[in-house]
Amino acid sequence: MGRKLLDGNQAAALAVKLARAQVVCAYPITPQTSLVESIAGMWAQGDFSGEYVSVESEYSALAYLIGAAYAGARTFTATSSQGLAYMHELLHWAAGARLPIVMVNANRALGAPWSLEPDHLDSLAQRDTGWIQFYCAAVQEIMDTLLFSFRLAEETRLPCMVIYDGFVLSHTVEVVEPPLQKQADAFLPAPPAKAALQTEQPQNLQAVTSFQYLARVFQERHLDMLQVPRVAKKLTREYAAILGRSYPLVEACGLKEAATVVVAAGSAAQTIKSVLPALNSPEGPTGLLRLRLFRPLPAEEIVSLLARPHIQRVVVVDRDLSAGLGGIFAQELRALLQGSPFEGKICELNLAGGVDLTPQLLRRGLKAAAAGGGEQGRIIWGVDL
Amino acid sequence: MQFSSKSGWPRPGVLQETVPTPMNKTGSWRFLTPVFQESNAPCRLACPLESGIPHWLNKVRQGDLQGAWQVMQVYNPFPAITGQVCYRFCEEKCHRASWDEAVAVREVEKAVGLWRHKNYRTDKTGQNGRLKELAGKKVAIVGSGPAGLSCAYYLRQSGAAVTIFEKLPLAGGLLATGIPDYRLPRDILAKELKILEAEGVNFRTGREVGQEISLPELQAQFDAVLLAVGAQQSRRLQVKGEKLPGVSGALEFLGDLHTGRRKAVAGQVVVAGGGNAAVDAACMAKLRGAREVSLLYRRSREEMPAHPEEIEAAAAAGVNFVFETVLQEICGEARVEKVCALHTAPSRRGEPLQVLPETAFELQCDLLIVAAGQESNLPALDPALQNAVQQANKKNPARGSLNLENKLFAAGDALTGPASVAAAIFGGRQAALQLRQALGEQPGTAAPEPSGRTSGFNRGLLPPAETATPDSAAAFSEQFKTRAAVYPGIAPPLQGPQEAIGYDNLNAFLYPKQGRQVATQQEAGRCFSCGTCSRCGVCWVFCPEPAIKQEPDGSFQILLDYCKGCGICAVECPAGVLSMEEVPGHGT
Repeated sequence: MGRKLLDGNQAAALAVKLARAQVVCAYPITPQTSLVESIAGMWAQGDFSGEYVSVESEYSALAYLIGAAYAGARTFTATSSQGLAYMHELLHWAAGARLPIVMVNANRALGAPWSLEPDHLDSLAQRDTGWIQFYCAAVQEIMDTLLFSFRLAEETRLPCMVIYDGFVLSHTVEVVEPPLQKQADAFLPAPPAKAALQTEQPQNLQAVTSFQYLARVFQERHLDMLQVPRVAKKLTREYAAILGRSYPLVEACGLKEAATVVVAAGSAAQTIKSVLPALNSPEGPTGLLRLRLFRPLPAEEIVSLLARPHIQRVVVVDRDLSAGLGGIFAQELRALLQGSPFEGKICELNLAGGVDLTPQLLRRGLKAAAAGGGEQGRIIWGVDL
Repeated sequence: MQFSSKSGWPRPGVLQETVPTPMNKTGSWRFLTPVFQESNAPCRLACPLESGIPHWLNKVRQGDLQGAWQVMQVYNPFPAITGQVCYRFCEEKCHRASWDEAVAVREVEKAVGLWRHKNYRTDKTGQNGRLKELAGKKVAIVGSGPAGLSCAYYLRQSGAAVTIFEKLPLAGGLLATGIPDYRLPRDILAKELKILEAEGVNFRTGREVGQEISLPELQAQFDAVLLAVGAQQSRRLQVKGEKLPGVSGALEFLGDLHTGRRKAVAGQVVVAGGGNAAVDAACMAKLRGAREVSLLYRRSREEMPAHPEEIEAAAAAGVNFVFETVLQEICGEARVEKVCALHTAPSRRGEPLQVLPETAFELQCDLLIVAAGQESNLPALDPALQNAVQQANKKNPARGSLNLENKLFAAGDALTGPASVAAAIFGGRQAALQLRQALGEQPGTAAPEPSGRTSGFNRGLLPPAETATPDSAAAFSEQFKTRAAVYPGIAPPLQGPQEAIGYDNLNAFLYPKQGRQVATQQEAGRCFSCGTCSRCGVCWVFCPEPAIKQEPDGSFQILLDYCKGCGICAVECPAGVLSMEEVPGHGT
């Protein structure tokens, strides 16, 4: 297919086409709009083999897909912000029913007040719904991760959310190399034909049940979630064999000598990566740990990557806020590294509200962290720097 | 929505129509409104000609050199010359420099100029689309330097009969005699003069006003007179021995070389001074055979008034710089043999100079070139003129040109003292503007400068009528009329507070520095169009609503009925022509 100039939404739309999704149902919302517009446009031109269904709300979109997924279809939706919040109830349902629905969330701050900034709280607020969550840092990665997610979701029978920063990635054009259809087909075979719901055999699915059964459902879902990193690694190798590209679950950059490690997710990590060499301080070099897979949290990978005696400090960049506690990534890291040498050394640089992480801001944040700020209860606020 | 491209991908420029949901007028949510406002690009403010650089660069980017010339000549009729000699004031201020590297504006300008040289034709009528506003008016221009030539060009475009009086046998003023030929190849100047002649400008070379013909005679014979006599009166050093043979002023030296009165240079040359004339003279002496050239300047290299580009060229040519040094005496029997000099204490320009008496030294010298600055030639023409300049300046400070008395004008270096070629061309342009008014041209034909507000983006670029096929004289002529109707034939100077548009350099780290060796069109495409809408369509890409609409002619409109006022367009606009403003009555 050669190289193309695409923005994040266009790349996602193309991945949905390459995945041969059978049912796409969505409601437009900024900054996701051009994604579903692209799919609708392809559908209108006869370039998209699946069904595109317009509905009146995000709630209906996911409800529709739950039905389609019960019927065995490969399904996709996309949303942002309030739209994702509106889906909340059904997110739980999709995960509980183990329906491998794939969705894109282009991050956008939740109101009020009304805003379009790329705050991560919309998707992080859905952390506990039982969906797999990937945070992407580049347009090529969006395309690859989305294609990959259909297979991962179907193998683990867990719904999967592919997340990227609104506007920063959804609307920014980058050079990407789309897979050929035959490569996509080689990685992602046709969806299993067996449907849960058959018209000849009417059933009542997920009916009222007791705690004994429910406890087992939850337990099983948790254990299956824990298998996701293993399955994802296996599939990553397969993807790399076909397409020559692969992404780790946790990306590490310059950790071999780093004295300070910045932990970040999404496009901010890409910014940090591009300025790493310029961030060396008197204490030593700075490294990057990018959280790509967030649910399940790849605990083993994170702990082993940080288990280096020369790492003095961990600075977590959060573009989200759990009011009354702090950034969600920072809290997850603190919980994970409880009892490790990093206890009490995990600082938080908080960009809630969609504060843009410029190299200048990052430098100021790192300086504040080196001066002893950012520890639990002492957030370094990006907006104050 | 419909997309014209086959694959169905939305892209700016290919969107055929935007069909908002008519009932859902989300514009009612808005309390901040995007406002379209062009601003001054920093290059334009830095340019002595105030050239609309983003405008003509955009034409070049589109591959439309004819259009580029049409825009260019409104500000600068001689891009082939400035493309060689200008000091690139624009590139110093280019916002793109904070990103990777300044746009090579001068190179593109040169390309436009050379295109014009190659494609210039006279049409059958001989009129070449000239206007008739000043038909029947006769103007005399004294001096054929850049100021005089520029004024001649514009007056001729307005239909006046223009006669240039030049005291030397060759036309061009400093362009012919002062600027070293390695900076300005003389065939380029010759071509420019030839085009002016073809346009009907009458050159009378070897006619010195004040000798062959007096100023009052000129004033009697012509409807108006412009004095563009330059500033070539060399200042004296006021040291002993200055009258010895072998001592020459810098401009006299350069003039002698360029007119052939002096064929070669030999021996040991000393140049005293730190301006462009000093550096040019030193370079030329070296290139024309001097064994060794020493340039003596009283302060440090950083303090030299010469342009850094010139200084670098001189260093490359092998000129030996002796800083913090002043001449004390010029010695010799029948001609100059050596100079005595003293060192000075470090000082900044404008501070008093402190000579260190114990540091005297001597330099062998066969030729001493004095470049202690030049003064206007106006007093030499008529001592009363200097007085008139001062008087007129008091009343209304000159910007490039000055109306001295009824139908008598002055412009260029003669008025400002030694400046730059670009500044002199600006002076000539200004004089043409003043002359056009004084000679009774109907006011009101000049279109307003691109500033102020509209709800559309139509004003970003010149109208579509500007684009044309080159080589067609008829088309050229037609074009010119259209252009003249919508755009001032002579750009008026910028008015009011002149702030350049800012540039927030966020992502420079992502992109490595680029080399400059690129094609003209590609180079022009690197322009950010600061402050000028280039119709790039980024606003359309980012607008989450159907609130930005592209018209068939490529321009954009903001549909306020659907604009929620989110401000993404203003954040993303790479040219900075959109801003958000509070609208009374919304959200209050």
